[in-house]
Amino acid sequence: MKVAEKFRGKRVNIKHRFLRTVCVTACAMMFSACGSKEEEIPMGRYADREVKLPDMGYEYMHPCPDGSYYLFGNDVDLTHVAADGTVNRDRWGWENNANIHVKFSYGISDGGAVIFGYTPMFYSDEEYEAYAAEGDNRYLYYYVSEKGDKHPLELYGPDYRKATNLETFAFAPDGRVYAASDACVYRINVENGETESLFATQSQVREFAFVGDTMLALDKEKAYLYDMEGEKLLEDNGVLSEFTAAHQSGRIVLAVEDENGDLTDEGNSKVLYLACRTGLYRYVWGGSVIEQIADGQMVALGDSQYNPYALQILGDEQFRVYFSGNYMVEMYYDETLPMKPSKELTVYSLEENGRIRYAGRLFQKEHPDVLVRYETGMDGDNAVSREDALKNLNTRILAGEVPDVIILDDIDMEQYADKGVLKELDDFLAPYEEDGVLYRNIVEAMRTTEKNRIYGVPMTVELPLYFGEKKYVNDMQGLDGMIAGAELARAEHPEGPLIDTPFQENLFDMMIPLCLPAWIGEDGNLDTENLTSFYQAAVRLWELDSDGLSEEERLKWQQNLTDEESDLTNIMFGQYEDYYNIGETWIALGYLKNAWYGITNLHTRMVNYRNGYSYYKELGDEVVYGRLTGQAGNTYRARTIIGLCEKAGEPELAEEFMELLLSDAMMQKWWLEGQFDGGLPIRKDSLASILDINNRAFAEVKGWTANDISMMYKEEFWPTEEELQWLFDTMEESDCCYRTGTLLEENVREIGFRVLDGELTPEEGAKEVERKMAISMEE
Amino acid sequence: MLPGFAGVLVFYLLPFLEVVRRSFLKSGNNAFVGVSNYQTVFTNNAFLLAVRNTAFYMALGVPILMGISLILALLLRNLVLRRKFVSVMLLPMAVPAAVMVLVLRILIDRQGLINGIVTGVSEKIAVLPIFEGIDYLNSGWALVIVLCSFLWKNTGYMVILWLAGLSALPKEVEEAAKVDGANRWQNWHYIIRPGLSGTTFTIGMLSVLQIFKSYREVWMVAGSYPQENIYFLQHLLQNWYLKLEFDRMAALTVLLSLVLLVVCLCLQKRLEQNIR
Repeated sequence: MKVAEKFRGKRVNIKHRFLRTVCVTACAMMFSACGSKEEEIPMGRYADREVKLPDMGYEYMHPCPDGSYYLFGNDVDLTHVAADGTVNRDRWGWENNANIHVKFSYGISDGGAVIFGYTPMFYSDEEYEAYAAEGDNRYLYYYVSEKGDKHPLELYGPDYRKATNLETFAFAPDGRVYAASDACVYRINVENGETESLFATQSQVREFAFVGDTMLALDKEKAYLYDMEGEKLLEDNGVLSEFTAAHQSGRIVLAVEDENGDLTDEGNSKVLYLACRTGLYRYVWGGSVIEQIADGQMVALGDSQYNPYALQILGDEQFRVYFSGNYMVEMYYDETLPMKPSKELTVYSLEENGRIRYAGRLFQKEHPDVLVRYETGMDGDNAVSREDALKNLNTRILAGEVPDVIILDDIDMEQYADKGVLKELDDFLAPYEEDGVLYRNIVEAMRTTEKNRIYGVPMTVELPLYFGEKKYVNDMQGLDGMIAGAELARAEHPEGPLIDTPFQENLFDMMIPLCLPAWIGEDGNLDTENLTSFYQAAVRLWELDSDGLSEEERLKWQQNLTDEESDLTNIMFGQYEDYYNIGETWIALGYLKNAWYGITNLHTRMVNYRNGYSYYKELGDEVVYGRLTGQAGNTYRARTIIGLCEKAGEPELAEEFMELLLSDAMMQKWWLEGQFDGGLPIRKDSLASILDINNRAFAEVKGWTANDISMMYKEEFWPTEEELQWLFDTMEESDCCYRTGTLLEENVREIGFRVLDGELTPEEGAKEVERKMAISMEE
Repeated sequence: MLPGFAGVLVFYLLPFLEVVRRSFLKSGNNAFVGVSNYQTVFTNNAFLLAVRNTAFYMALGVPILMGISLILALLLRNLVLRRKFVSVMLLPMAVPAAVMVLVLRILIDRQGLINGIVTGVSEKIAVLPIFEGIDYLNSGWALVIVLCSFLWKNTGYMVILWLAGLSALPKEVEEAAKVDGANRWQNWHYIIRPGLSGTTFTIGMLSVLQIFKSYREVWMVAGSYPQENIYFLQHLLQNWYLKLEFDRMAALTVLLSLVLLVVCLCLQKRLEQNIR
């Protein structure tokens, strides 16, 4: 009995103890929660500011230990910018570089000596053949000393094969020159060109750093340490190699705080800085950790448009980073900024969009407390298909993780609007309508058929255009007019291509936007009659174009273009235009993609009239241009369609971001930044400003290489008042929107190839599309 | 037992309950709509087409696969080189889907090998009319192609399962029956067939699952909107997912689960009856 009571008493004690513990824990949690409200937000993080560079054409930068740096490029002299910003372009005097094309292969010493690889320009077939005989796409090398003495450098040696180009050069502080091919690191004698291989690498070394007698070289997978004095490879640094392997999708650049002393000397700790897309890192030599000191997302490093090319330590927690695309920023530590932005704005697009990336940077600068997270569904690094990217997006939507802003290019806007994903923009756009700043007709054409509301607004548009001799294009309206003009031109010019459509998809790229809106009738069903007419016209145009070209010629044309797209740098200057163009194109049908080049001289690939580079004004009054139409009236192609999500986490920020995208400053800045190929802005004031002659910002003469390899120059003209008015009127008349990303277009294209190949007749093709669409519509 | 059940609960039952819940809501605003999603599914023509095709494909594919593999297993049962044969037959299982699709395309494309051979033969034999080639994937042949590729891929595996089932049968019973004068048919009908009922259930279920899995190859070779005959339930589900029709998808998933449950229960019952 007593024992039982004793145990009961123990149970009561345990109960009390348990209750006490729960109460104490709850109180502690309450107080800690109260405390956290009053807790100060940790402050301080790295920010950046853009550095204005003295010229536009630079491609490389070399940082010097004194805070100055050198800039160098294909068409510009070596330029030294002192620490105080003084620019000196005279020290090298490189006035005769017209014959070379500097490749991605160079090295600059702190004193200004330069070694670079180049491919020459050729003025005769013999010259080219003599060069190609020793290995196609082979670099030649040039060395310019600190004093400015220059000489070609013929690199040779028992270990160096001429077929392997040296892609990276580096001057050690003691003057020795090192270089790397895709499999080896060499030492080079710049006086006699002798090369000596030092050690093998797994891939191309892109970055060298020197400390005392130690060289650090990074390839894609590994970090190599080499004792330059003892001439041997040192033990692998696992931390650095691991970091290198983990960041192999982009480039890593290095800077060492103090280049004197010995890197591997214990007790003499050196600090190494590494910059890559994910951020800026600090590594104390010998340590086991690489510490991130700046998050790439919050500075320019995270911008996937640019690759870091050089890193410079400026002291006082400041750094300079030079990027591909001749872009440079200075990173500095700002104690007034919150360590981590308190808000996050998510912007989503299916594919990378430069102007959204740019706007994100701008927005983040204006709102230091906001992190703009720009996500792309089809990232360049992973091979995600459009369908998979959309599935991923839908999964996020299903999970309630909707982005704040969504770019609707290549996304079926109607579908997402119908499902309540997108926010209605009528109210948002009301002030714009009152001010009359946007082309109202363009915005109105974005209304969805189902709900008759606006859910997306394009930032820019492209206008369909024809261009050619008056007699061919005079009646170029509708598909019949297009065919009539093409038939006339073919009758007079039986040889060569007729329109600029090397591939079948080019023909569809041109024709579908003109016709697609006409294929769905008012009852929502497919208009097979219109679709059949479309296929008939496509077949006829393809036949007319093919009549003047043999299959071999077309293949060669296609091959040239594919080569250009896959590896432009491999096409030799001087040879390029000759291979690129297969002949003369007599009618140009395409899209006006930018205001400057487009309207001033119609210099786009679309206007591939007589060798692709002709200016209609020089051809006289007989050559005219105008709006191209198909089956759907005055269509335009929408670019960068901005939509807001209904359930955005940060709705106000999302609207602010959209305001920024639609602002005059953003639209103009985009052009002034040199990003021309992006369509015409839908803001009337922005378009007018861009075309204001006072804002003219490019050369008046354009040069290019003609088919006979001689250089040709053409004067560039500014549009007349009449021409400008034509463009503004054409914009005002555009009231039918073509949007990409619909299933109908996908099917029309897929079956269209079979129709053009003769597998199906136009009627069968239209029926096949109808059959495919029937299931989709039933779904 | 408990950890296993917890896993099933967290990864299967709870998500499924969420799917059931969503099947009564409208996607987008999550408003309760009762059985409206189910009604939409039942009146949807694409759904009816997909059900018809899937059922037909299953009704055709499962018995053929089971029949062919069983015949092969019976033939191989007493063969000395049985293992080598089986190894060869298993090879299609090891072929990645992408390679299989590539091979299929080479064979059945309009300009493919089969058309090329048939055209060549028809041109050489004057009596035959000139063969112009068939677009197999966009004609009534599509289902035959899909069925053949399904059989090619899965027969070997099923043969192994049948052989395992056959080897588990006690030899003494068959020998005793032989002594008693039972012929081959009687041996099959009274001894082997009842003895294989458990294996039949397993192989039947696996074949149904393989039929569903073969959608991957169909999609890779013919896309999201293939020829009408090979438009299956998975096409519908996938396309609805892309079209954000989550509510209909949820309803369809619940229906499919119920159908599969009923089928399983029926087969189970049949099996139990057989055993008794």
